[in-house]
Amino acid sequence: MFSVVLGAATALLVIGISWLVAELVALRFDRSTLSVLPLAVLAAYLIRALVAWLHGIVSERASSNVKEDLRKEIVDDLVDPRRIGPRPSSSRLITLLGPGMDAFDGYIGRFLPQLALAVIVPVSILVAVVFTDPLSALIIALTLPLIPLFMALVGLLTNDKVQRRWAAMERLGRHFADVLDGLIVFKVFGRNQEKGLQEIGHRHREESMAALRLAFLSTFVLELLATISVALVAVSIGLRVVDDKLALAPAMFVLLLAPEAYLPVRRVGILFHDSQEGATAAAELLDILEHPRHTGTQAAPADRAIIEFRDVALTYPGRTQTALKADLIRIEPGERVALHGPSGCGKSTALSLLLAFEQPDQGQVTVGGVDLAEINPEDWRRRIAWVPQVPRLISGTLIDNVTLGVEGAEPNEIVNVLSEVGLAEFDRDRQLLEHAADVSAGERRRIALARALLRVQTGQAWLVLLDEPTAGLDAEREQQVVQALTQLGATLVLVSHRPETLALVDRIVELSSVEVTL
Amino acid sequence: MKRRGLVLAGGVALGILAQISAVGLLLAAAWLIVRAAQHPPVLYLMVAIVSVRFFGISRSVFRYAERLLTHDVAFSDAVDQRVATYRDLDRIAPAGLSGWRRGDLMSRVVDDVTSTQDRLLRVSLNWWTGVAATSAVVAVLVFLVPSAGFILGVIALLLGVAIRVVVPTLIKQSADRASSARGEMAAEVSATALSAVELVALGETEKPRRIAHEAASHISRGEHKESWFAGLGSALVLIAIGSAVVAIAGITRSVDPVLVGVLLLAPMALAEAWDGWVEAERSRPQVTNAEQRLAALAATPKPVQDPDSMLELPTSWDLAVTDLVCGWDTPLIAPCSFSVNPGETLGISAPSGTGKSTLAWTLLRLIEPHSGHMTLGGTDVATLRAADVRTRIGYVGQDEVVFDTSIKENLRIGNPEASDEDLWQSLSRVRLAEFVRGLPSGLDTQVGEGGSQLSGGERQRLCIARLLLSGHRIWVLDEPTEHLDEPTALALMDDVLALTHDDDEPVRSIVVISHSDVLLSKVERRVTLRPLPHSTNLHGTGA
Repeated sequence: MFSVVLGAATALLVIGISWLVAELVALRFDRSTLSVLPLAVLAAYLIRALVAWLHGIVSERASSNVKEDLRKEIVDDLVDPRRIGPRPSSSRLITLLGPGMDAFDGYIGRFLPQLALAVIVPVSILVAVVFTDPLSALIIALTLPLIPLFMALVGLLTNDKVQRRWAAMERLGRHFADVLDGLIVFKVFGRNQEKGLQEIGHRHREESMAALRLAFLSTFVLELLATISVALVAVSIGLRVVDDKLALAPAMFVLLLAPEAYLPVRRVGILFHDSQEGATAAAELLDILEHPRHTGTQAAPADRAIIEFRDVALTYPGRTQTALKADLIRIEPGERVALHGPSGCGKSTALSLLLAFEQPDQGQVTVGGVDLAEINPEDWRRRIAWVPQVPRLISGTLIDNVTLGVEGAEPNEIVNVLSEVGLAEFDRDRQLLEHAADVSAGERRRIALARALLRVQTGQAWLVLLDEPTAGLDAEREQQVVQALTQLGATLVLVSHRPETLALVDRIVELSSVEVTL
Repeated sequence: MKRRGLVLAGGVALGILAQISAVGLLLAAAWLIVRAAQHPPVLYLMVAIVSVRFFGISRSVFRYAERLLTHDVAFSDAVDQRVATYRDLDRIAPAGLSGWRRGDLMSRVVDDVTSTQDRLLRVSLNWWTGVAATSAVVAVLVFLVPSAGFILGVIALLLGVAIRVVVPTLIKQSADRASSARGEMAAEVSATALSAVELVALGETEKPRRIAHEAASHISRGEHKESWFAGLGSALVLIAIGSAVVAIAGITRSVDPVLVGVLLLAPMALAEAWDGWVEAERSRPQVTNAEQRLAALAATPKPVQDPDSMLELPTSWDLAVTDLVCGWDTPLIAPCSFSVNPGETLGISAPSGTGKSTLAWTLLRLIEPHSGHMTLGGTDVATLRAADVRTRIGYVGQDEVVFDTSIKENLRIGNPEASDEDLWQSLSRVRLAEFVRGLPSGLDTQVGEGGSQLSGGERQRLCIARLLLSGHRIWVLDEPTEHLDEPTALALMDDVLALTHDDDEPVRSIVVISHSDVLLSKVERRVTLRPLPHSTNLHGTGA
């Protein structure tokens, strides 16, 4: 809205300035005095400068606001408790939030305001020229529409290339993330990645150049049309001035206005590719934001309840192999159950289903007789203490990490739990980083176990899920923790291979290997 | 390099010609019309008419060619920059990287390298072509009417200084803030993405969400502040044009009337060139920041310094460690000594949390020990090149990295020349061949980000198969069977430990670092690693 008002002001000022300067040239040509004319020119330019300044502020802010909203939406979606299915990888998110967002700068900050100018300014100029020199108006009116026509044609041609360039950029980001993650591996094997980076880099370069050759070709056509039309107008009015069919002042006026009519359209042409990248980024954004959502609203049982898998089957999208198939698994309150079976039989998938991160394609998982799909997932997860295979840390102290997601733990309880998992010696005030290289996998595991113990002790959780609980931890310690959990009466579901751990449970549920095509 | 210089020179020359053509079109047209107003025979106008038509076409032709050439240069520069940055990161890993947050680093490298392309495309080129076109116009004016040329020259100079110095100083602070806010945002989102599932399970998403939202608002606030200056450059250009037109109008009372059009329109013809300067300065802060960050990376010192005079890598590969103390900033492990002869297997028993990985990385010469000695084939490793030592000593850790590519490509990191047959052989030695054969795409199966399409056990076996394919003499295995079920783990351990000999010839030694007594019962000899009491400071003791 604001940018339309500013666009209209710009159009009027462009016409006004052209008229004043044309008069100035004509007066000087006749060696007449200029009176207040120079002052008027100066004033007009000052006002135009003011409008340009305001235009900058308005467009920049509009784009910045949209980006802020989008960034927030992406973050909200990332941690949306009702999201079902895998979450986007960090490198994909970072590409989207960084360079991906800059695509919106081009679109909202420059393309849209320019689009408004491209409609308002040429039309106003055309009106002004019609009254001065109809023939020039006709030339402009005939050539101007060719520009959007060519733009659309070239756009159709380049769309595919732009998409490939986007893919190349993403691949580059992923490749880099991988290389950075694997720096140690590459160092151990003495595998220098320079060549790989060079190859990917050059492929990126070739794809970009191929896209740009076309993109530039379109701007070439646009600029050619614009400058050739100005040349046509100039020569035609020059010849009519010689023949005295046109006076100097109106001729100058038309000469100054003609390029101004093409300028905003040309700029749109240059920015058109910005807009396409914006559209591609928007599509990528939608791809991340679109996914099934959990709709359950019922309260989860606050105390131990029977958990059942009934005729459950799940296949992940894009995969042919069934991730989990379970006819009937019944877990009594307070029971300790181990899920056992060969790799790929769906042990981790079973935990994901219990955590409501996934929903079965068929059958149901029920808690206390209620389908998990009907239960509010946030409320349900409060009842679960989950120790994943490779627990992550948050930035903060040991205490911050252990009490994360624990409601109302007493300081002495925390101390007890820490000594129970063997972290009594650990400096409690030391700042840990989420990607800390100096906290061993064993320590991370103990932190997660301590947290699980606390969640059960405070009476918040009654279901404990332990994924591969032996990773990086001595078996004795693990047994102690499992024993402590048993004493608290929690229902325990664990995934493990170790006989020592399997010996702790009441029952081992064999998950049948899903048929593998041989 | 030479090709780059030529292409670049060609690109710049074409850019200047394009800019001059744009100016020429308007000025030639102005001269044509004013001259026409004197009603000369049409023949007298022919030169002007041809010029107008020529400039009308040449501008877009030059511009198209210029853009192709300069973009090609910028893209290959970016590839070189990326490789150079990788070289810096590779040099300082792992020590230099522990203090950095992954997302921040990643976004920095990818973003910054892209930004450095703009140095040429959006900063230098705009200034060069703009200055060249302005100089050309000023020169023409000086030739026609010296005072007009002088006025235009002074105004252009003032404008150039204002755009180059004054506006950037105003923008700099808010741009710095916005850029660091972006780094923060990337780091937050990366951290949150990696632990998103756990945070959701814990119901603790509010804080990371709030922090990321704050970072987003922070970016936006920075951009809002910047917006005050966004249109400032364009406004200055318009003020400069207006003043120049009016000033030149003031001195044209007595000049030849035919020149009036050229003189008065000269400042207006330069509008596009001057807008280019504004665009250049808009891009500059981002480019400079990116370059500075990459330079900081290049300046980070190497964690393990290679000796000035490096010795040849000895052919024998017995390893001896004497009173070795290792740790990151402070010593972690009490002095330990052990030796491994060719074909031997050694177990290092270490309770969890005693710095097993630190010991492994020290043995691999990835970090410098605090004190003590380590010899390979009787030669002190401090006198060898660290990378050479790593051709002898190989490693598999407990959460070993696999790459988001095919099984085949992952294996080939161990040996890029390996044939498919070699790959299958190594897979069957770690009992993974049957699994891979069962996959629809076999060796070409994609393993996903961090090997997410594989189970923990499969991932680990793949990593051992990868090590098998390379020619390391000494294997350091850090909890190698952690994710395998016990029977498979022990069977695999038997298979692995049998690899020390080929036909009774010792071909490799194996060091297993583990907390598991069951696992360590398989090796020939054992030593126990003891943590250092936290209060003790061993700096300055030992060697």
